[in-house]
Amino acid sequence: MLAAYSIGVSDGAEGAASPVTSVVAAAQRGDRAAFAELYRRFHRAVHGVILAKVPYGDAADLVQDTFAIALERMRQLSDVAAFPGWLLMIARNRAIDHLRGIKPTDELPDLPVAAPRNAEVAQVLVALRALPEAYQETLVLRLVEGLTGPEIAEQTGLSPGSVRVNLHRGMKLLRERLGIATSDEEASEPT
Amino acid sequence: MSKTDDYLWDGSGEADPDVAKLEELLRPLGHDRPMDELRMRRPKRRRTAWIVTGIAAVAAAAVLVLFLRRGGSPSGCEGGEGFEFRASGGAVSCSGASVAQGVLPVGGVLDTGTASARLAIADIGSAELSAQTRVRLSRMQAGERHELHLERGKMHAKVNAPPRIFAVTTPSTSVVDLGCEYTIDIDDKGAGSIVVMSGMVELASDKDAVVVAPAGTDARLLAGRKPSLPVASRASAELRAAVAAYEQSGTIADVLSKATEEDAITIVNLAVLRADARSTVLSRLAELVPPPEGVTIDSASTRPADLARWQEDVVTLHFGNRVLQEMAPDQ
Repeated sequence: MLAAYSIGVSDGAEGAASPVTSVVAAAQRGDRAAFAELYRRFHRAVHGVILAKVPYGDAADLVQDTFAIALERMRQLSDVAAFPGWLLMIARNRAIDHLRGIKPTDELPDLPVAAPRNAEVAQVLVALRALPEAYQETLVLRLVEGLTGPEIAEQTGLSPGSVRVNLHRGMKLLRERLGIATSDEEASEPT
Repeated sequence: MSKTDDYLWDGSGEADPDVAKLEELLRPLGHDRPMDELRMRRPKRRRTAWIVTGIAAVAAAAVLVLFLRRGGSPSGCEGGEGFEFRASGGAVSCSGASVAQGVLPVGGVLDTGTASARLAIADIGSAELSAQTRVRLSRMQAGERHELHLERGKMHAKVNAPPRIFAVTTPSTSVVDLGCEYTIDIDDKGAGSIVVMSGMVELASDKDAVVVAPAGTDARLLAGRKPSLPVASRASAELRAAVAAYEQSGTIADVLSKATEEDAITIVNLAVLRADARSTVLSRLAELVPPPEGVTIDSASTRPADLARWQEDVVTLHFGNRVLQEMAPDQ
């Protein structure tokens, strides 16, 4: 059903969204519009997970790779509810494969930010990538992709509580690495 | 839990200045590219990919050995696969090496500096790069997709190939070539404009909506990864002012009231971009160009396929008007 899932024209954010499981099930039956809808819902999460590992200039291409692999293997996914975690696992593996095949390069020229801010962005990216994996991915999804905590939980398969803790601890660690002072209030653990 | 923690969690409450600053700094890196339909149609064959990778590695090693025997300094732009270029008015920088001509490899960056350059787009066209222009060859797949990233500067491209084989990404949008000639100008902040001379291009927006800009239109490419509305080259100053105001405030009333039949291309793209006001915009469009048979304002408001049919009709009419204008004697 093209109208329900089409990405050719924006359907606005106000419309009621189909549950992910039903869209995944439709995509497994070969519904290309459903797969396009999955791309629309998850492309930012996939990009965030990849960007947490690889240079910015390579990440967009790997997003397309990830979805191409997912499309090819869609029917192998036995539990439709596991789709978010499964998709992001493909993205992580693709990013790791890619890193094995490239030499470390300066990503400064590729950043879509004019000098001198690109140096600042590169510095933050280095600090983010040096964090533990759970923190780096969650923070990239929040700060780069603009997802909220509840959206991160929905799109990664993590519990909201885990996401909240990852955000809080990750941000605390990132502040330390970037030399930003932490106030007493912010230092308390979320409950 | 603190108020600033609420902000980190879901953006509510009092803004944490550190988080807000990091968001502002990093948000331009967020992903907004549309799905690459061509690649989805041809999923990777892992085994084939390994074989191809192996052959490519052997070939690359052979080229390197030959190169080192000749005693050159490797910049990666001397030969091999890529887009050929030739500088004029001085040397250009290719991946950091100063050269007068060469081959831009995938991943290579060409910066014209004070010179200019002519860049071949595989075997399907060419691009003239003005001074102070910087491009990177992102992808080269014969028969499938070639992709060039224009970071800044001015590029005039002329392509003769099936639709969607060539695309130009910029910091503000993706321009997908449908077989045509156009000029893109991008400033240091990543914003700019596109002028389409022949054929048609698609401009991808951050909402996955596709704006169509046919020959005889121009559009601004706004920072923040969204194209503005294509405007016919003969559009009135009033309509251009209304579109400029729309870019600033999102107000559509003046765009609708100032548009004439020749501006239908602007209005139909406004309908594509503004899902929240689609029926209002389509009501005005119907006064300029009636919907195709079987399509109504209501159906086009809710069914993307119907809106796409109406958009096609408007594009066809736009091309027809353009031909008539070219045939008409000068006033």
